[in-house]
Amino acid sequence: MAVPPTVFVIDDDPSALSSVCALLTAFGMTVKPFDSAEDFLADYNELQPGCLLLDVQLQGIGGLDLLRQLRRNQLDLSVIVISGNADKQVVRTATELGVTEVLHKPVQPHDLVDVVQRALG
Amino acid sequence: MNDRSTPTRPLQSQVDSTIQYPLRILLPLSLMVMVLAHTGWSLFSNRSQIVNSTNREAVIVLRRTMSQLAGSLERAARRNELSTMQYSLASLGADPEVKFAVLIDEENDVIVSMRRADVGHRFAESVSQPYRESPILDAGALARVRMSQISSTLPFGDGHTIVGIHPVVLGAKTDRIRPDHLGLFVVLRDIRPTIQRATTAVSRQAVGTLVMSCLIAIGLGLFFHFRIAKRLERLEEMTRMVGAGNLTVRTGISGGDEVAALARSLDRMVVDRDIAEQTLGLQAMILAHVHDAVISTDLNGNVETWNSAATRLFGYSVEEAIGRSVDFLYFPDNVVAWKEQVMLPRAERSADDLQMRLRRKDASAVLVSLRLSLMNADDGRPIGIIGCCNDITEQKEIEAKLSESEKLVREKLSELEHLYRTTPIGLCMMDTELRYRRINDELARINGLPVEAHLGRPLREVLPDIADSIEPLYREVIETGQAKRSIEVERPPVDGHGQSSFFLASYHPLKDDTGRVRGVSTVVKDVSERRRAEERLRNNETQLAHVSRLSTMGEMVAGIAHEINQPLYAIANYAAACEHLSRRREPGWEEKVQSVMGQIAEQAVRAGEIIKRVRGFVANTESDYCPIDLNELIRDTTKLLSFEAKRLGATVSLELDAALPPVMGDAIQIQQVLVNLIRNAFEAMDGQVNGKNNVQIRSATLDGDASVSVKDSGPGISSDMVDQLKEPFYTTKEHGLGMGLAISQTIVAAHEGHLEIRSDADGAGAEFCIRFPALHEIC
Repeated sequence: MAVPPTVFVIDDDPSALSSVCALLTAFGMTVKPFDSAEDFLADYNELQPGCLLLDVQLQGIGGLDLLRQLRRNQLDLSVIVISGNADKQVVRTATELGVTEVLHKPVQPHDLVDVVQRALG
Repeated sequence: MNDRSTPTRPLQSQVDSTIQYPLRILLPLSLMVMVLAHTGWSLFSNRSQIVNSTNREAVIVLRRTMSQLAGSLERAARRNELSTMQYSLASLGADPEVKFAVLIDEENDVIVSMRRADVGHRFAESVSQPYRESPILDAGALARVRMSQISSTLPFGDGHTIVGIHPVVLGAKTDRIRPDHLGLFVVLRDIRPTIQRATTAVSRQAVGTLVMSCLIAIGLGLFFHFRIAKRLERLEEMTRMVGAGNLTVRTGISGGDEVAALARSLDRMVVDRDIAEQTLGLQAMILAHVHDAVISTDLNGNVETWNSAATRLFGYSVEEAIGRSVDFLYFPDNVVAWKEQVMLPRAERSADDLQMRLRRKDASAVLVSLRLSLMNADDGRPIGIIGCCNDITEQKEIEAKLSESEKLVREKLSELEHLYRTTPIGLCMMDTELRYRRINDELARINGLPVEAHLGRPLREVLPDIADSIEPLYREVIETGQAKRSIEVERPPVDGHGQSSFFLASYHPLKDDTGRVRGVSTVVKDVSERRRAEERLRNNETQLAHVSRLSTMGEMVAGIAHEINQPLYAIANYAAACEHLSRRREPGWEEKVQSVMGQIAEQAVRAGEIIKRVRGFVANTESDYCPIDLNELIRDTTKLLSFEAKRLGATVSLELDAALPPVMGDAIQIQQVLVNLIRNAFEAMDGQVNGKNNVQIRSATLDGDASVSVKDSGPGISSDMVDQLKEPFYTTKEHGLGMGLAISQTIVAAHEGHLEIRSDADGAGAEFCIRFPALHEIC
């Protein structure tokens, strides 16, 4: 059987990370949580299908930096960005970097599930 | 002593110490002369006595011998025995003193003779010279014996020859009447040898006596020399030395005789005189050194003693003054007064000091105080007058100055009195029984009673409401003698309404000369107004701090919103998950839902805590002091600012001293300070590369104080900016009032702490350090 697509979730707020994972798992998705971009990069396998759910306000390598890095490596991974504050500059940059979707907190859980499911195709 | 009060008496003229008639020679010599004279005289008188007695004896002996011989001659003559007669006479020849012995007949022819050759010769022829011519032996003398028929024995006249003529009957007794038959027996005896012998013996005896006497005289002389004369010489020498003033000399003579007794009494006298001299010397010295001029006169007013102070005072030397009438010290107009005063002590009335003008040598006047007293001899007879005087010119001036300065002092005192009474500071004086001895208007006003209502009354009676709190203070000052300064005293409103009054009081012990506390001086200042002003200020500051907190919070509101959003976001997700799970009801869904519900509850609590924290920070409460654990406050504050940290990409590291002492203060205000400092640190690093931005918060105990330092890793602050930083409204930020640091400083100061900025623009970051006194030190 084909490997199920995985949702990679990166959020440095443990409660946010945990709640998102709980939500997506409840909807039957395979979730892999990371609390930093560095961990994700260390663990990430290019062949693994899935999508990335990214909090742009990360300690260490910021969310936008991670995006740039991924794009530089020509990785075709659909990315959903969650932004804490509706900073237009961030949204613009994220869009330029070709993210699938930009979500603003507070995000309706169902919207989140929909967006992720869409991204997974 | 360079001058004597009396002129020195001339020394006794030098005694001629040569002895013209030394007793030790004269006495023996006269003794010898006496003995000699006595010997001579006794020799002379004895000799004639001896001669006389010898003569008398010789006469008696001759008479007895002749009468015996005459008897035997008469018997022989009767028997006609001529040879027997011859023999009898010849026996006389054995005595060399018998010069001749013959028996002559009536014809004066020698019948029998001591010398046989004379027989037959005429008597006159047989007598040898120088006796032949003597009238005793002439025919007439012989005839007188024949006629009287009485024998006679006579001294010859030369002093040593005796002639004895004894009649001898040559015929028969019957023919006795015929003188023709009467012969004469004549003996001549020269007793010079006997006399010679006697006188020689006497002479020898006299010479012996003389020699003995001389020896005795010499012995006596020696005795006199050594036992008396020598010692007397020593005494004489000593008396001379004593006379010359040497009073340390002693005779050194011992013994039990009169000389030794004399020596001892002399020694005693010298010792006494030495003591007397010393006393005199001392008195003279005292006299020379006293500041008073001391003058003594005889009863006629002639100066006898004049000390150096008198010379200094009047200008006359001792020589000039002694012997003169004391009138030279007086101006003509007050001589009479002097005379009268002189009479006073004579009448044995003690005169008080006189004040009078006397004349100096240079004719100037000097005002003196004069005391006169009478000198009495041992028998009470007055012998002179002593006057002591001193210059009182200066004293008078001093008195004048003194009265002037007294006046000044009185003025000063009244000024001080006025000041004491009217000064707007409460003053009072309390005795050791805590009664008011003195109180000024201001304190009376403060106490709310008139001055009179205080004086003499005890503290407890005057101020019953606060006596309990201030009496111990007074008692402590009285017991320890130590002042108590700046004690704050609170007095509740008298009628129970209105505000309390506050006073700053100091208590100072008043000590007497022995150091004993005799009272307490109190200074009271009404500081109620100041206290109220301070309170108002504090309130204003509290308000300002609150405004500042609100402002800070305004700046942080976006971050706080995000912070609250986080749990809310999580809750929303969990809730959706629960909803989905419960709808799908897949196997094991209940456990999953339960687990997620737990998460929801947790996140709700978290959100509540954030809100509580924020609300606490912006609360507008009265300042409330309580013990604070700074470490806890730091942790709480970092939580409050965690979102800010995240937003600005900064990390916060804590290094907390577990043994940090608690401090007393308003927790919200101190948190405000921490917030300000930490946010400043974040902002100082804003714009730097992520990952290097670290704020280090450290708590430590420094010299008993609790300190917190907040150190950033920013560029630091140049030293000239450090001072500006604390000024209000100084800011480097685009937004913000620039009040943060100024308010922090006010808060820290209100907590008796310090805020210190350690920094240099060297890229090592800035460090802000606050310090508060530890709580146990305050209490």
